[in-house]
Amino acid sequence: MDISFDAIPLAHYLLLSATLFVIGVMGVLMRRNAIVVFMSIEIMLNAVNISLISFDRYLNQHDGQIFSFMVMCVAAAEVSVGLAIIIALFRNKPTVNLDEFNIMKS
Amino acid sequence: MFSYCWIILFAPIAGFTILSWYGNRMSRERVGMFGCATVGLSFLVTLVALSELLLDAEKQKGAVSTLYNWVTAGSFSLNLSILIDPLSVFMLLIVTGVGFVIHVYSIGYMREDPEYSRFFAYMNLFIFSMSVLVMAADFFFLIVGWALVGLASYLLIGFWKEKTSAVLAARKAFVMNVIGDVGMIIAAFMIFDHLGTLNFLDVFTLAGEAFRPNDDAILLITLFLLVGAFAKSAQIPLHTWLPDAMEGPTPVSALIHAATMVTAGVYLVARCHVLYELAPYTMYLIATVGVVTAIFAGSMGMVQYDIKRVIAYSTMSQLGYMFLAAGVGMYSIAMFHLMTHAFFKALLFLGAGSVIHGSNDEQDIRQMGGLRQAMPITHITFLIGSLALAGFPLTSGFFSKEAIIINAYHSDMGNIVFWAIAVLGAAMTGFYIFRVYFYTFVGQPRTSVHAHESPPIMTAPLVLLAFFSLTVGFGGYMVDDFLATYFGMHMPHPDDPVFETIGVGAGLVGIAAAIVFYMTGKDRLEFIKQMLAPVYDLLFHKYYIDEIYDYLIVKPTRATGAFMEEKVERDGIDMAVDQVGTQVREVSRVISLWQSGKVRTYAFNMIVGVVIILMFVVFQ
Amino acid sequence: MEPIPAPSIDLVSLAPVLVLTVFGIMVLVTDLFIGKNKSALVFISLTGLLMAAISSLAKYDLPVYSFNGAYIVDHLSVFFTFIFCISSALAILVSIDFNQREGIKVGEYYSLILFCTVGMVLLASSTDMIMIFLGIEIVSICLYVLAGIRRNDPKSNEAALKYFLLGAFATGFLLYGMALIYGTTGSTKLTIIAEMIREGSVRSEPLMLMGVVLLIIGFGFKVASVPFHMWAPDVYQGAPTPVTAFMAVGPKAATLAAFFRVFAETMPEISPSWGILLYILSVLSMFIGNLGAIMQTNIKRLLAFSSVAHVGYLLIAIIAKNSLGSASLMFYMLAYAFMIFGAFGIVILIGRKGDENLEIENYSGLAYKHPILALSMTIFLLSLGGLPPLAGFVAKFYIFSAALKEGFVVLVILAVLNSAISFYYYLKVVVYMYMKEPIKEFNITLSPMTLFVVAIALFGTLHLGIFPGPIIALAQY
Repeated sequence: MDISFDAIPLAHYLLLSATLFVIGVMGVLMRRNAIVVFMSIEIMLNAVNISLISFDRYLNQHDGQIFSFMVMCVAAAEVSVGLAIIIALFRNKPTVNLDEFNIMKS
Repeated sequence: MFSYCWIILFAPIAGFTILSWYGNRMSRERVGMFGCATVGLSFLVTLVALSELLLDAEKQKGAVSTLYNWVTAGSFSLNLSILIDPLSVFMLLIVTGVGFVIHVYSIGYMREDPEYSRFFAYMNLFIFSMSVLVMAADFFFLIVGWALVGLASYLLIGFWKEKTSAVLAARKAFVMNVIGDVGMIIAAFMIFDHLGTLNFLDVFTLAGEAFRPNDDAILLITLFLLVGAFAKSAQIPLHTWLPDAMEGPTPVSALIHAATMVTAGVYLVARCHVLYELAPYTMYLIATVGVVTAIFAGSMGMVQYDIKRVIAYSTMSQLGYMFLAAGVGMYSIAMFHLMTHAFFKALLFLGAGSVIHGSNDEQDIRQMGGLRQAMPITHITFLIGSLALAGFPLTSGFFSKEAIIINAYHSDMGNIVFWAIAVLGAAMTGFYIFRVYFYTFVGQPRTSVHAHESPPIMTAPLVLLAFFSLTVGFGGYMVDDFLATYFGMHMPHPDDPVFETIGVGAGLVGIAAAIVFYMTGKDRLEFIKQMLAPVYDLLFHKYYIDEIYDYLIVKPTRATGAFMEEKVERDGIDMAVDQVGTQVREVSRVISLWQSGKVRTYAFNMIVGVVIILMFVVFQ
Repeated sequence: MEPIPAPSIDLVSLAPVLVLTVFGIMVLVTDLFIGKNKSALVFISLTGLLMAAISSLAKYDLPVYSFNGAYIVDHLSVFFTFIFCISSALAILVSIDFNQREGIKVGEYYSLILFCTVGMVLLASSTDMIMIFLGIEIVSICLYVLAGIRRNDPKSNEAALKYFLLGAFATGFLLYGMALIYGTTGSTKLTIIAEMIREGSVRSEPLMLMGVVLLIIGFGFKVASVPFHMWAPDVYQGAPTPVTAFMAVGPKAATLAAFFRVFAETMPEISPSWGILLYILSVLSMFIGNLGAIMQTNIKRLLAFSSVAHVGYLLIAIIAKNSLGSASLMFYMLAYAFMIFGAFGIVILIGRKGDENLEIENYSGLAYKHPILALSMTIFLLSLGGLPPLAGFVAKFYIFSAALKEGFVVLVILAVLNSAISFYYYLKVVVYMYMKEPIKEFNITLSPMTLFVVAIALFGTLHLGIFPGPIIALAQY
């Protein structure tokens, strides 16, 4: 297992992580569907997880792994709250198009 | 030592609190008496402090009375403390003394006003603020007082809030004063940056070592302080608010815009004379602006028809004289003139108020005339005030103004130009004030309104002030002796009969010219008016300053946002009426538009922010 | 097999967190067994907060590190724990009558506030990035729910959605920054990171700098500094008013405490690289916040923009990065808690069911009808603007002196200028209250609990303004 990791330098993992992160950011910016935007945010968080794990492995430590577990827990909590919010919203106004939610503005 | 002097501050603020809280439930007599009593108490305490200073020369060095340590941050601390020294006691005498007389007068003047108690509450607030200003022991509380008097002035000018012009004038005054406050604050920061303290006594001790004369730093500090001084004392170019401020009740004009608040600028220069002496260039600027304002305002006073506006311009002009005196290094003369001016100008304003009161709120001097018979006491006292203002020999104005004019040439920093302009200004003074006098009191009544003399509660203060306007001039030496410890020098008495005579003569010539123009036949006046039409026009339009402002600043900005402007203006409740306010609101509107309400826009903005920050870091 | 070394577990230093968690759960459970009347929940919550505040004093030989250096009890954390408990208690008190009026009859409301307080205490006491992340997320998730607690109100829903999506988005950046810093320094512990930076090897590492920038972005969002402030006005407006007040104080204070720990305490050596960024964010926040507030017509939006400006002032304390800076941060947040709860308390009193009476126009002529309310509001607003001798002035004074001590004269002058601008819109409200005729009948129910909060806030604002000495001494301890 170690061998296969050493074969691929850290930079590649970081690059993968950065690419995924940017894909996530782009998803947030481009998509109108609240659920998809939400999924894009999850992609961002998981991109960070890749970084954490690869740093962890590279440094031969455990902090990063623990960190990534925490991130997953938090992400799960966020999902539950986020979906609840979107459902509450959907009850009042049957759409998930983000652009239609702008009652409040200056 | 001097801890009892805190009463001077506590009495009027207690008055303010109680009057604004219970004033509506108190009877009018009670309100008036209470409002006056607090200021009277302050005055009595000031007298006690004065006697203590006079009896013990040792105490004249000044003493700081600290209530408690308010905040301490590292090596820097702010104490709630007051400074009692000859200069502050001198100012306090004027503030509380003249203030008391004007409070008494207000009992009569404001009698009919439905919001009697609010007026006295504000007046008490003003006395408190002004006392804070003059008793401050450091630059911080000086600025606090500075801002507070601006606030009190705003409240009082706009006292009649249903009168649109008064509200606008109040805003204008406030905005101008805030400009001054900002200047002061910047100066305070610079002082702190260089000296590490804001305490007057420390600053003045340290300044001598920290700065070389005409250092950049000291020049900037003195100039920023000067922005505050000029804004408060209505010197060019921050003068436009003062004439408009006459929209407020007349006792307010007398108290704030003649006797006390507007002299704060002169007080500031005198208080900081140590700093100014290190900056001769600034001193020169002060003298120049002073003398220019003196003649500029005097010339505009000659053509106004509103009795209060004439006196307002006169105030600007006399303040110019005070700045001239301070600018040539004659601080105690400036303070002396400040004192005599406080008496005779308060007298003139109150007299004008009495005239307005007696002729059913008419302010236009063309509608007056022949009030001599109807209002004998007002007439006599107004005449005394006019003579004092014109510098008629042996009145108080004569002594102080003569001293300024002669020293404009004879002091180390004086020169013949200052002197000549000052003399010209003196002639104008005689002219414009007697023009008003003749229009108002002499000749035949021009309208059918039956004028009547004001009640004794209003005339008594006039008589009192008239008495002082005649006599305080003889106290010049005492004033000088009293203040000499603070300024570290006595005022010189140059012996120059020729220049002195010319100076006296100028005022008399002005009076004579007024007699020639306004006492005799009307045709002559009309003829001269036609001859001088262009000049007259120029003066009447206040040198077209408002128009030039309009052309240079207002028009271009209007053109860019004409459409939006209308919309914004319609909201019209905001404090500032000037263009700064408009531009600020414009920016604000743009920021609001940015707030589109869409999540994706917000996310996009965040990303733009992120990218800019990243770029910044990468290319740094 | 080698035994796994167990870290020292010091539950005493964790006491406030434990107490609050237990009481939060108690509120939830009790809610199941009592009827319509929820006042028992209020009582339990307040007791919990009081006990949490007391238990935070359990350690006295400060600072105490525990959990292998992940958790610290020091002066900053204790002081902030008190601020959190005070602000949460005020939030609960101010909610009672509001919830009755608006028909929010849910027990989880109070437990969410308690759980949120748990997050705040964690945030102010963590010295490990994992803990900081957890703290921020506990706080945020509670706030997402609180903002949307009025499930049937579209505004409340929308506020929750906006806050949630943008908050989660910002979390991504924060997390990425933490990951990069972890990667370069090899640790999530602030003490070790500080050591690495002091040694100098990682100072110029590009990934490190990148991490720092991303951290600033993440924190910047959570405290609503420009350009990451855009959620604030909408969320402040849409959330129920007590929640708005709550999130303007406690969570912000907690995040700033962590901000201070991560930047000023951990990486002062590389302050040139983050200092300049914070400088820019601070100046932008002050200007955009104050200028943006001028045109607002809704009082909650106005206060939202003003809070953006206040973050600008608060960042100055972090930029100053000295001990006076941390003391001024503590004092400022305490003073801010009083001012904000006072102002929002009055907003709640004036408001009526269904978001009525939230426009500034509705304050016209308040002084004639309710002079004491108008006067209190004036005091709170002027204190927010920084008028001596009110708490807001003293707070600003300390922040500015901290910055002056480090030579940031221009920054301080800009901040003072901004304070002057801010008076423009604070006084606008005052002018409405004192100088305009009422547009309609005031129909105010003077609910006792809200009045009580206003009275406490008034006392705090005046007391901290006139006699700041003892509290400042505590903060500078």
